[in-house]
Amino acid sequence: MKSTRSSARRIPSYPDGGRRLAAFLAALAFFLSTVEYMLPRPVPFMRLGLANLPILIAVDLLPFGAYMALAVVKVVGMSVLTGSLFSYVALFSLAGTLASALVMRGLRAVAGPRALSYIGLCVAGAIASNMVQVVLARFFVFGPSARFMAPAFLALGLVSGLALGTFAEAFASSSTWLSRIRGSDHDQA
Amino acid sequence: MTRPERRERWEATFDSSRLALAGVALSTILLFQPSLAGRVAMLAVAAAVAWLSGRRLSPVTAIIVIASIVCANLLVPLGRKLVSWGPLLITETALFEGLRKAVTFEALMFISKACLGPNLRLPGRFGTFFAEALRGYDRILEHKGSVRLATFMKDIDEILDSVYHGQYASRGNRGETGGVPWSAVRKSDGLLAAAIMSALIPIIIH
Repeated sequence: MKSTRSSARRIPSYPDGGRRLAAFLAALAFFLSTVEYMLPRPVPFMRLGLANLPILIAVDLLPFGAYMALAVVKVVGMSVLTGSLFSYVALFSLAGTLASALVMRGLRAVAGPRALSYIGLCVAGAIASNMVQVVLARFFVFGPSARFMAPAFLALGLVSGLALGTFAEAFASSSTWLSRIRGSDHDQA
Repeated sequence: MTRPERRERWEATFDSSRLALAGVALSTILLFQPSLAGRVAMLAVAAAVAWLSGRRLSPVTAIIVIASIVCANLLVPLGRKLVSWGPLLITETALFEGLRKAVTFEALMFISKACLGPNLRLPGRFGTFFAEALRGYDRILEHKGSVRLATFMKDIDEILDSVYHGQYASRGNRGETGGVPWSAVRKSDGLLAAAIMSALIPIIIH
């Protein structure tokens, strides 16, 4: 298996700029969102954020443009499918996802896969996402009281980031699909 | 009439693109409603319309969300004191701000529910990309019955491998159908225009 995780950060190049893979990863995000909807939640309103798995995996797979397009399509698509595109929920989701995607991408630019695992990336992304959402909640929903919720919200981000990062680490190391993508897309380049 | 029947009738009545545009207009008008009463009226109508649209709704969740937002806003006292129960102080500005935010939050959600559906196709390159993602989603969904909690990771991996490297990969970039052509004017377009005009009345009067 030819793996980007065994060497320093190297994004494969694609004939179509990674569009097809990005669209497929967006489809995977929609699917995981549907799956998560069906799973029981340990705490009401708490989500693991399975739909963020494709963005996490894409950090090492997609060029920056396709990566950001994936993040936007994930939010827009899920908002259309759940019927929340015109609501604050979509705004919070877009801001959180973009913040998380940028932080993870930025961290990967300075620390390769050997220095920073998916767990570290995911925790950083989840905390960035939740911080941005707390700031938005301060202005749009909760007012000054948002500061009382921030610690619990950030703690939830830490827990869900750890859980999703662990899942991503296990998935990346065992996935036949991912290893074939890494292999075939390198070959295409 | 069952919920799926309402959904089917709703989708047959309205053009999905025009419905989405009406949703954008109504959401914007809601944010500019000057009075709480106007927003409450829009919330009530939007909830009724969302029900008519056949979307899955949860009144209990909506009530919990509204109560949570109002309570959170009451935590920081602001304005004239209305009532106090022990340590809990209810102040006028905090209460109205909380109600305004909560009503706006839920009304936007109901407008979205009513005006958006999976049939919506977005225009341009982004629309093409989005349509490609939705096609992939449909293909993955065909296999959802094979996902078991006990073997979740393995099942997902097998689905992705078969869809991406099988049928989906062989399709390549075929079917670049991001947007859809506008359909002819329908009677239902008049209803959408009337809804937008009605929502504008409080703003015009104000």
